Amino acid sequence: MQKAPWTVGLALFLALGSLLTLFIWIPNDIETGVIETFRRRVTIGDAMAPTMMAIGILTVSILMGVLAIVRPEPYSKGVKEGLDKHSLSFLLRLTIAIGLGLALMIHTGPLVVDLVNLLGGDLGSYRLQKATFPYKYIGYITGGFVMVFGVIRVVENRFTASAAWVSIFAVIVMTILYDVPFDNLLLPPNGN
Amino acid sequence: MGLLDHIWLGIVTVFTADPMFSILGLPISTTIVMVILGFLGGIFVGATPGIGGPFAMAISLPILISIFGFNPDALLPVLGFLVGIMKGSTIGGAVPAILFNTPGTPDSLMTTLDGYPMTKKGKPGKALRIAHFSSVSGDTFSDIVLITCAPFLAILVEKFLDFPEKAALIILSLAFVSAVVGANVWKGLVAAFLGMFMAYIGTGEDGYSRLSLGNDDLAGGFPLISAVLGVLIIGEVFKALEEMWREMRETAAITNIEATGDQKLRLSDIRRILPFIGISASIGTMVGALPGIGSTLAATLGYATGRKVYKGDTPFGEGAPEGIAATEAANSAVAGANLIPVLSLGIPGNVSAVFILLATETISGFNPGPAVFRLVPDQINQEMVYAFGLFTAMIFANGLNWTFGGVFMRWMGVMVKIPKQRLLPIVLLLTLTAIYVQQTSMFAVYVTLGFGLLGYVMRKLRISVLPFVIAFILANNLEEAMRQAFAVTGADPWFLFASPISITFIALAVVVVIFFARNQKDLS
Amino acid sequence: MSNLTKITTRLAVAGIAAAAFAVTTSAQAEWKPKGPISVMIGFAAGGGTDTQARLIAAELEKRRGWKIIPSNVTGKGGVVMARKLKKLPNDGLSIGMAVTEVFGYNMLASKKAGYKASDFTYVATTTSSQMGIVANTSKGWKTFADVIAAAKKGKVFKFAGMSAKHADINFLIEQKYGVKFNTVVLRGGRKVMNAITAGDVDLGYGAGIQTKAVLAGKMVNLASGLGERLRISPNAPTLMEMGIPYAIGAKFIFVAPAGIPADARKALGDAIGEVINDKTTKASQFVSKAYGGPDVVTGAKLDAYINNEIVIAKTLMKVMN
Repeated sequence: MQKAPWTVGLALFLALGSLLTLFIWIPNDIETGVIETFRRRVTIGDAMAPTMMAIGILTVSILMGVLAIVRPEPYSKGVKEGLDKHSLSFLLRLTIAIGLGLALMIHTGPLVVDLVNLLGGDLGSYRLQKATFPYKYIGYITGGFVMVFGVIRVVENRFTASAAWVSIFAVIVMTILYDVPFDNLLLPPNGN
Repeated sequence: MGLLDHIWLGIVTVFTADPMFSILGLPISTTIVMVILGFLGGIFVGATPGIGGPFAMAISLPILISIFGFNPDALLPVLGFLVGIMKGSTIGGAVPAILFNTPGTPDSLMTTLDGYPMTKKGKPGKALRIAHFSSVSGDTFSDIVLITCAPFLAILVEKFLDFPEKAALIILSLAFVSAVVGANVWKGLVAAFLGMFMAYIGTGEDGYSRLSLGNDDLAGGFPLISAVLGVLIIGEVFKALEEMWREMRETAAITNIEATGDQKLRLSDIRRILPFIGISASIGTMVGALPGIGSTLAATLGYATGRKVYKGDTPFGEGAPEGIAATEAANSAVAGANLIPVLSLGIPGNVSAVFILLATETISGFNPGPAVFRLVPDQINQEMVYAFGLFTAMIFANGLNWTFGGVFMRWMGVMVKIPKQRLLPIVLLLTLTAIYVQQTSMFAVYVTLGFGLLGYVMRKLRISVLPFVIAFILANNLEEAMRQAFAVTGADPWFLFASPISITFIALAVVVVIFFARNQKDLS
Repeated sequence: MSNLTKITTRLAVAGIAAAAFAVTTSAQAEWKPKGPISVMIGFAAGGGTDTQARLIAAELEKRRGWKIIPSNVTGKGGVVMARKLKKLPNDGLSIGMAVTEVFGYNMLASKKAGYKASDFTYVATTTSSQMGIVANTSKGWKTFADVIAAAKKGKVFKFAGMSAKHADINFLIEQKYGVKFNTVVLRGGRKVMNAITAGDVDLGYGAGIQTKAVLAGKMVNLASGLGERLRISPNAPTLMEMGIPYAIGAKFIFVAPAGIPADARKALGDAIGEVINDKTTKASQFVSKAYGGPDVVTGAKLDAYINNEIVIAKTLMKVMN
């Protein structure tokens, strides 16, 4: 039974990755070579540094993998390495909460503006309203609230009113903190 | 005019020029008000994870310039505010590190190692007092060195470091960090290589950004702040959230810590930590005086050295006050000494120094360089007056730090009352917002989350994140130094081995790696 | 009260300017932005371009009541910004700030710039660089001729530039005079100044950043890279006088995506010009202190200027290849 499966796995992954980088990514995605001769001037090209790093990763990961097999490192008691199925399940939940928050942050503002236009308003596109109260806050507050509340929900594993209050309070404080004193700072998503 | 006249003029300028208002008939100058405001702001941002001192300096510089203008009169108020932020954020950064295991600034990463265990043992108050005392001691020591040595030391250091030596010095620093931090030298090295590789994506000299896959967002490279805060802060937030989630599933409750027992800083405590402060303050000051190496490395070196010297009962990493002292004294001692190369050569060594330099550049009347400290017979060298005015502002900020800093710092500690599972999601949003506000692009937010995931996985696989982060920060400096060294030596492929100094640096780098690889220890 | 006088003067000047403006534009209704104007600055916060752009933006908000939102889009000295700007709607609400080289030499020198000069509407220039070849005074050189003389004796100097263009010019100098430099390209004027100050290089190019050091007597402009001699160093010959037939100065410029409405282009250009040309504004004082002072070119003249830049860049590249 291998004692450090994650270290060996990591070594394999990095070795493979650096080989792909060296032989496929770098040759195809960099315009200048390792050493460039350009109008009598010999210079270091853009490929030099990444190539050196890829070689470095390749060498060290092979060493690391071999050593992990030959001489597994001593673990202190209770130290676990690697991700188990609980970690993955947690990451999935976290992704949903954060992803939902970001999606709302980006799309709520434009959606509300469209809705107002549909109901007979004349706001034009969201681009024109992105510095106007209340539209400039709608996306950030909705998305930020959902993100904070959602992540608390994931960890506490239940919905509570107090978590909701904390979330809404935090988002409003942050809105005031950034947007009110500084005229030129933009809350997400208004800079894009 | 002699040296003393200049010093006196500098002090007078800070305290009397352009009074804003007066208290009991005593006029309070604008500079003094700005130092105080900066200082308070600095503690606040330092204590808020995700927005460190450099961030606050970056945001406030343009605002200050538009308030005060470009005339020499604006120099001291603006510099005073920046100095205030610098000093305040250094002590503020220790607060979340100690209370929440979340470094407020990259510099206080090592503070978490012993600070957080102390909090877990019910000693958050004591840990904060130790951090404050060590930080302010280190800072004051460094300022004294700056003021006494600035002209001489910097000229000497720069004299011996050309492009090739600078490249060699960066390589040595990286080798050292990779080898010293973390459980496994090879994992440390892989992290460093990976960090540099990431920094090389989307950069380069050619018009087409290398490795950017034709993507316009990637063409500007990964934003530095996204990568650093992602790996350091978001990665830690993810990991901490997972731990709480597991705890919740198993026990349906999350343990929050109450402060118990003696929280005061006793004379006996001071006696215990004083040697560590002395060592670390010296290390921090030396590191700070070298251009290009920052406070994060100083903290690491201070901590590592402290651990070597230490013989107490509680091991480093399990809540030793000496560990906090060693880190905080070292990282705080960088700030003052870092101004040595800035003031005498115009070359910054860390991010805070960059903003000081930017301010002097935008405002006229002060050109950092060797001429600043030149004495001209029968004349006032106005630049030297500004230099001593800046020193005065720093000393004044130190005075604030000694007298009120500790109190303000512990006020920030009311945040310990907030349950962590509620606070960390807020920290997450705050960090993402701060990054968005600075970068104004959703891409930067996605990159931060991506690097956060990377930081989480690295922690899970017990790869230390510090070599990654430092390598990411230094990568472009290293490449630039190499390119330049290669170019100015007329394309000599052996430029790294052209001078005894650079040969020494490279040899030391190899020795460090081999030494630590042979003496493999489990340090995490 | 000096402040009061300042304010009254400013009001008076603004009034005159506004009156003049009203006369010239009375025939047509003035263009008004329908929403906030985003300004993408192609360089990092805190630098010369950034400072100018933000000062101009603040003044425009004050004078016109427009809402202006500056942000920094960095990368490749403005090229990344240009690539992004190209794709934005051409309604006058998205503009960018960069240097003219981004639409000339830098665009042509890059194999994959991703845009062409016709992708943009050029709104207004603000000021011009004070491009010079600079060295520490302690070197003892008075003009570039002294450098050439020393180099002819076989000395190889370390010479720092800021772009491939400077390396090209150095190559031409080497060819013309039969000398050799070790040319190094550093990222940005600040790095070049540091390298000169610290003695890492012997001489280098400065776009105006050297002005303070030159006035303080620490550095000296050895040659001018402009078509004319530098304002502060009238004794330094131009590169053209030295037999290198290129002017390598650049102007700072506001651009918009191609095809913005003509009235929007005019309104934006006039407003920017008004701010820069008014000596009481911080923006105007800044460009006078750090660069060549106000240098506003708009409309058809600006199009001609950009076209000419491209022609020059193409000839330079042809000579080099």
